[in-house]
Amino acid sequence: MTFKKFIKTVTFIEILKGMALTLSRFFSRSVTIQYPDERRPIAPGFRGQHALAKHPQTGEAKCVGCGLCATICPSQCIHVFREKGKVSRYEIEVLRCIYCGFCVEACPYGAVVLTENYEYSDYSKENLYMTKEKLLSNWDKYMPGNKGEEYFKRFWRPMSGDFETPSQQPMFRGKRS
Amino acid sequence: MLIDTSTIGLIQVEEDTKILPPNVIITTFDKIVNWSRLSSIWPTTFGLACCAIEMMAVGAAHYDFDRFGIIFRGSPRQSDCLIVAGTVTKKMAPVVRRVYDQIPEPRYVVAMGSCACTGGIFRTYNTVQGCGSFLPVDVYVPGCPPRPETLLEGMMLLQEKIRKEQARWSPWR
Repeated sequence: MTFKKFIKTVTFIEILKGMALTLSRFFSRSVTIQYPDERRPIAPGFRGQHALAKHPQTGEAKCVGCGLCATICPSQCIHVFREKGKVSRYEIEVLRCIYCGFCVEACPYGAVVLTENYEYSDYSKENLYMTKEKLLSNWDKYMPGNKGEEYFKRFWRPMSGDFETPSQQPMFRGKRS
Repeated sequence: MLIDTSTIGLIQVEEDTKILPPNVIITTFDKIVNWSRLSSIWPTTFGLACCAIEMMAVGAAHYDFDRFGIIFRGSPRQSDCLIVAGTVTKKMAPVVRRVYDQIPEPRYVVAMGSCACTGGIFRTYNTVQGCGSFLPVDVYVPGCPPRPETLLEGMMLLQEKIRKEQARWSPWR
């Protein structure tokens, strides 16, 4: 044992150092977020509760019932039913959802959204089985104004907007009239 | 039975639950008992999968379960709440049930996360499709995993539920 180490051991330098850190924390600001009163700001594009987008003009659901979201859903929690060319029932088992956002990505019409709401615990399973009406009201509640449009533009815009096909390139351009 | 209940006229509050007709003594005692129960919910330290990590985060300094009197206990015999945090596989289900059975009355169950609530993404032969199939779940907390705030909100919902309880302390509960 060297002399230096001996002094260290006898005077409890290391313990004192640790205690000094504890004491300094005693006077620093508390890190606790007082939850019901204050909230941590949510990251933009947070994937929370679902909503069905409404058409800004007509006020009806943008969804056409193609069922792409139901097909891609890894937990198979979306059920789409069509009647006479319209969506009659659009149901999401929220308790099964894993919030991957595949449905939003797959939707070609931008009809299904994951809003920033995360406080929707409940006593029963039935209340968390989202029907079309509930999902549409979620859109009004959590995507007010043009927040929904902004959300799609920023996070889920169709990828076709990123590429432009040069006019010389041979490709199928539809029937010439 | 301590009192002859045939003459009192019990009130049915829910299915199979009858209580004494409310009076000043009973309702005041209800308030005291419920208040003491809701401000000291002690959950079992019992995590099953990734949700348990989030549960630990809620217990840590930033969200701080202790503010609500929620302190994790190491033994189910000392606790009165079970947070089912994670996927319940068929092999684990008897263990979960056993932990629940060891908790003394009154006991509460919080199903945390998609897997515990309904089985979530695991629509498979080896996963229990929701711990509600073998436990009486009080609060369903959605999310995969839920944000710490969501779990805190779920626990606050549970507190609200305990606050509204009637005569859970009586032999007729």
